[in-house]
Amino acid sequence: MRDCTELAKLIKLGNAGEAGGLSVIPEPDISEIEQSGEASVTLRLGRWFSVLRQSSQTYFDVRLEEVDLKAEARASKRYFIPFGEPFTLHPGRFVLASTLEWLKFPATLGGYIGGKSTLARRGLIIETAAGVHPGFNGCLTLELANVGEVPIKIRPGMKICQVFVHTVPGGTRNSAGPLTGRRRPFLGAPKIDAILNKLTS
Amino acid sequence: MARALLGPAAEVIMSSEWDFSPLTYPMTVSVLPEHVLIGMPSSESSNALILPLAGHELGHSVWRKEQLESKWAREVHQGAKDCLQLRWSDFQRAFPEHAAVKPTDTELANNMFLVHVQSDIVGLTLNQIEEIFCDAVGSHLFGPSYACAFHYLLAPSLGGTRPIEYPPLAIRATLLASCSGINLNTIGFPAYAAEFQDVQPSLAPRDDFISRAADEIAKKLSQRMYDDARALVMTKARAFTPDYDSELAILRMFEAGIPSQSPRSLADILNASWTYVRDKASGFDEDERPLLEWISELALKSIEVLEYRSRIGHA
Repeated sequence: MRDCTELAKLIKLGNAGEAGGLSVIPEPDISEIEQSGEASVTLRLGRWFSVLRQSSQTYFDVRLEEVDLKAEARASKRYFIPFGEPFTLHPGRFVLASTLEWLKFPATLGGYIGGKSTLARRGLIIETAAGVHPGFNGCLTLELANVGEVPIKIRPGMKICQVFVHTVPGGTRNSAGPLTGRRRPFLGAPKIDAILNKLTS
Repeated sequence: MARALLGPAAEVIMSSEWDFSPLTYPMTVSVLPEHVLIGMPSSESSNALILPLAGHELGHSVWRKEQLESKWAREVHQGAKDCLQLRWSDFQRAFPEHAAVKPTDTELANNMFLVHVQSDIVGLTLNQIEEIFCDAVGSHLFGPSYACAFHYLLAPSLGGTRPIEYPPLAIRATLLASCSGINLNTIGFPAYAAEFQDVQPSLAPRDDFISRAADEIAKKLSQRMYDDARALVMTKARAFTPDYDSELAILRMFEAGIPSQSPRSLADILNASWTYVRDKASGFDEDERPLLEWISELALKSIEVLEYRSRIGHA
């Protein structure tokens, strides 16, 4: 795991567009990272939210065909919340959000997203698919859920999560192509699982 | 940008929901005087690269705010009078029932029919010079990206016949090439105006005469529209105008596959975006992702970064 000094160096390098660096845009306060002593970079909440509408979708079958995924995408509703306005997440509800920061990981780095303890203690779950693979490029999609007892007002621009960065020894290959970046929460499609298809056919 | 040009209370509401091409509602002035309402074509709602055309729409609000119609009305009226006198034989062919009238100053001032014709010419000309002024505002605010977006959306034509309230597209393109200060050769348009084709409407002789007269007067005033727009933009909104070094810095970030971390202006982001499209168009693998979708993501994120930095005081 990279420490705060190394993280600061990596971000400076990445934000200058240099190979091997970690891009985090908008750039966080580098001096704050250097002095924090923490081994993570805190990220902020973006302004786009995506909600799956119960009334439009009866179920999600993990063996979906492409056409069904399009229908699922149509069944979700996207919200833009300006800075200064809240998004209220009620108990038991789930919403996709994204980080305000655009991140680009080189082939030599990977990471894990973690929640913020103060938010977690109030029932806000941030991320359940936490791995960030080498070569990731874009805003991270967050899976927010309120498992607490009271509604929580979240606000674009707030500190929402942290990313821990790890070296990938000998890393030369990216997990995805160079053009994967997205600004907004992305539902995505499950990869085709040939074994599951054989088992269930 | 809008606040610099229109005052601190200006609000821009831009939407792609309306099903017509960019237009500022006339209601802007009477009902919501501080609001600029801009409708962008819904078919291009995910394409950030047409944003410079919003500069044209902003121009309509500037035209009203600065009361430029009043400023130019007298000169346009004189132009209509001069045009009638110079083209009197054309007038006689278009209006044979009035061929016996002589175009003296007295007749032009008192003959109700001639007054009416002049009024129609003045109205059409004012519409046309407003459009030229708005192109000038857009081009001075956004630089080359305005010419690129204009070409992308409007060339070769709008479809159908040319509305006579607008100057011909080929003329607007010619003016962009000659009056805006944009070097179109360097952005891949050696014959910019030739790429626009207008379908002239088939008009009755009366309307044809009036339309041609308006075209002629508007064309004569066009350079001054550009001069006026440039003076206004440079006086009130210079900080938003394009800067080549800043555009290059943004382009370097785009080439690294990331948004700009410290953009200076919307114009620089959009100019860098169009340069990226021009540079990458031939070898870009669209199977992985459409080029316009990819660059729109980088541009829109850069615009968000610009807003973020501006709000926290770092822009």
